[in-house]
Amino acid sequence: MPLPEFLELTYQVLKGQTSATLAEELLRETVETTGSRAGALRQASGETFRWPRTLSEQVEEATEGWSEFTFGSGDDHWRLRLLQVDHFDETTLTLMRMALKAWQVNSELKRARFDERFHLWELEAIRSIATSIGGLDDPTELAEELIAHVVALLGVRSAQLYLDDDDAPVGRFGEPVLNPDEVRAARREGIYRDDVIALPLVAETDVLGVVVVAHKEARAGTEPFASQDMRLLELFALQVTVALEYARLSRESLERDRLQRELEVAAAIQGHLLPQSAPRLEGVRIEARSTPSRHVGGDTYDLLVHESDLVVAVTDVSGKGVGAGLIASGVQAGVRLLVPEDYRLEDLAARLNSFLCGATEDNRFATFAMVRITPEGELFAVNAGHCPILIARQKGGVERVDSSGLPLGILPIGGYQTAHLTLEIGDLVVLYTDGFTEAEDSDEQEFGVERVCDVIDGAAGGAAGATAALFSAVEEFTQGRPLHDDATLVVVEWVGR
Amino acid sequence: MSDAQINISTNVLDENLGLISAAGYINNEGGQAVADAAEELVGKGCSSLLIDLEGTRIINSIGVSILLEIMEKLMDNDGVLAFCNLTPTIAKTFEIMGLDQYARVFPDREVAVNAFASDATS
Repeated sequence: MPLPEFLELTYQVLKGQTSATLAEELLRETVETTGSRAGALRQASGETFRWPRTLSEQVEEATEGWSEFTFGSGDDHWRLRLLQVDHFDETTLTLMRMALKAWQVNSELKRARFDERFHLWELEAIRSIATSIGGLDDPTELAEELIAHVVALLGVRSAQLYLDDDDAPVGRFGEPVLNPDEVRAARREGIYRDDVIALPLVAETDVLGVVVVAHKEARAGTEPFASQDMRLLELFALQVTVALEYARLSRESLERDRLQRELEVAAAIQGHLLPQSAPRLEGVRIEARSTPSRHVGGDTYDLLVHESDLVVAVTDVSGKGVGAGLIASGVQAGVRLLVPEDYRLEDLAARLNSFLCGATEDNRFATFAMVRITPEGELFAVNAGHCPILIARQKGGVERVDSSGLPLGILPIGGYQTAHLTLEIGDLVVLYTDGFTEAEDSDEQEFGVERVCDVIDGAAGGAAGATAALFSAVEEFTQGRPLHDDATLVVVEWVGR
Repeated sequence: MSDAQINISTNVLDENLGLISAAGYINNEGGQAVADAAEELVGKGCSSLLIDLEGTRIINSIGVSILLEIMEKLMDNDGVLAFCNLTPTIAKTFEIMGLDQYARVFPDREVAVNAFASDATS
C-alpha cells in the first residue's frame, strides 16, 4: 500500500501546520489513494474542501455514486464523501481520521493562542492610550491617537470622535456614518445598533463629546458588533474622557499660571507708576494710599508739583484687572502730559475725556477728580463723575466739590466746571475712590460719603490722622471683610507757607 | 485621516527577494491585497518577502491574521518574511501578536535589503 505522501501530510499536520491548503491536500491524497473520481470534505462549521477544485456544489449534489464517511462529533465533526471509490482502504481512512483530528486540535490551539494574544493587545492599547494621550494637551492629537487604537482593536471601517457641540469630528477614520442630528442624539443617550455604536463621553458634570464606530469587519465583509466590542469601546471612552479632562485641566492650569504671572508683572508696573513718595512742598502735608482689590486695580493717583502748585489727581476706571489698570495708567500719563501746558482744569478734563472716548471699550469709563493748590492756598478742583472731593475745615464742617459732568470716556463732548475755594490753615483736602464709600457691612449697607465726611470732620492729627481714622472706620464697618473694589485715598493738609 | 484605503506596489529585488510596499489600512481588504501581492511574487520565484509598511498606521486583527498566514506559507517553503518601516504602535502589535518571533523586522528598507544581500553571500 503506497502511502508515503499521505504519511508526509499527516506528519506535517502533527507538526502543527494548519493551513487550509493542507486540509485540501489531505483530501486530494485520499481521493488518489482510494482511486476515487472526486471527493468532498465538509467541516461542522460548513467549510468545505473539494477535489478536484472544479467540483462545484451543484455538480456534487447532482452526481450519484458517493460513498460517505463521518468522523468525530460536535465541532469536531467531519463528513468525507468519495465518488465511485475503487478500493476501500481502512488504513487510509484511519490516517485521514488521525490527520483531521490533529488538524482540528491544532487549529483550535492556534485560535486560542491568537485570542490570548489579542487580549494582550487590547490591554496594551488601553495602557498605551493612558500613557501616550496623558501627555497630549492638543485635542486633535488626542483624537487621532484614540481613533487609531479604536480602529485597530475593534477592526472597524469607520470611527470618529466629536468634541463639545461640534458637528464636525475632531478625529476621523473612514467616512462618518452619523448625520449632525444623530450625533446630537448620541450625546444624550448613545446609539447602539448592529452596525454603529456611538458612546457619549460623560465626565462628572458634562458630556465632553461622542465616540462613534461603524462597520465591524469579519474575514469576509462585516458583522454585527458583539458585547465584547461594546465593553472595549466603553473602556476606550473612559480613557479618553479622563484624558480630555486631564488636558482641559492642564490647559486651564497653564492659563491660570500665565495670567497670574501677567498680573504680577502688571501690578509691578502699575506700582512703579504711582508716586513712590509724596513731593516735598512747603505748606502742605500729604498722605496717600492705594489698595487694589486684585493685583492690578482700576484706581490710580498722582501727586505733581508744577510751578510751586501741588496737583493731585485720582482716577477710578470701571471694572478691575489688567484692562482697567491700563486705562487708569493712560489717564495718569495724560495728566502728566497736560499739566505742564497750564490748561484750566475744566479744559484738561475735557481733553482727557476726548482722548479716552473711542480709545476704550464701550462699557469702560473713568471717574476723575483733580485739585490744584497754589502756594497761597487757593484750591481749584474739577470732578468728572467721581466721588465728591471733600474739604474738611479746621474750624469744622465739610464742603464738597461734586461732579460737574459725566465720567471720562462716555461721550466725546463733555463739559466740566472748575470749583474754586480758599484754604485755611489746618484744612484737609480729601480725594478718594468708591472702594471706601461702597464698602459694605454684614447687612450689605454701604459706608457712604456721609460717613467719610463724619470721620474726617472730627479727625485729629492732620492728614496722617484723617487717613488712619478713615481706614480704621472702614475696617470696623466691614468687620475686616475684604473690600469689593480698589480703594485709594489722598489727603492734603494745608499748613500755610 | 485619509488612509482608509490601501495602496500596494510590488517589485522583485532579486531572484529570491520580493518587495511589497503597503500604505494604508491593513484590514480584511488591505490584508487580502497584501496576500495577493505575496502570492504573485512567490509565483515569480521569490522565496522571501519584504513588506515595507511606510505609510501604514493602522492594522487590525484580521490584517494581523492574514500576515500570519502569509508568514506560515513562506515558512512552509523555507522562505522568510520581513517587515520594515513599522510605526512604534505596529511594532508593538507585532511583538504582542508574535509576528516578530518568526518574521524579521528592520528599521528601513535599505537596512533590510542589505541584510538579505549579506545573508545570500554568507
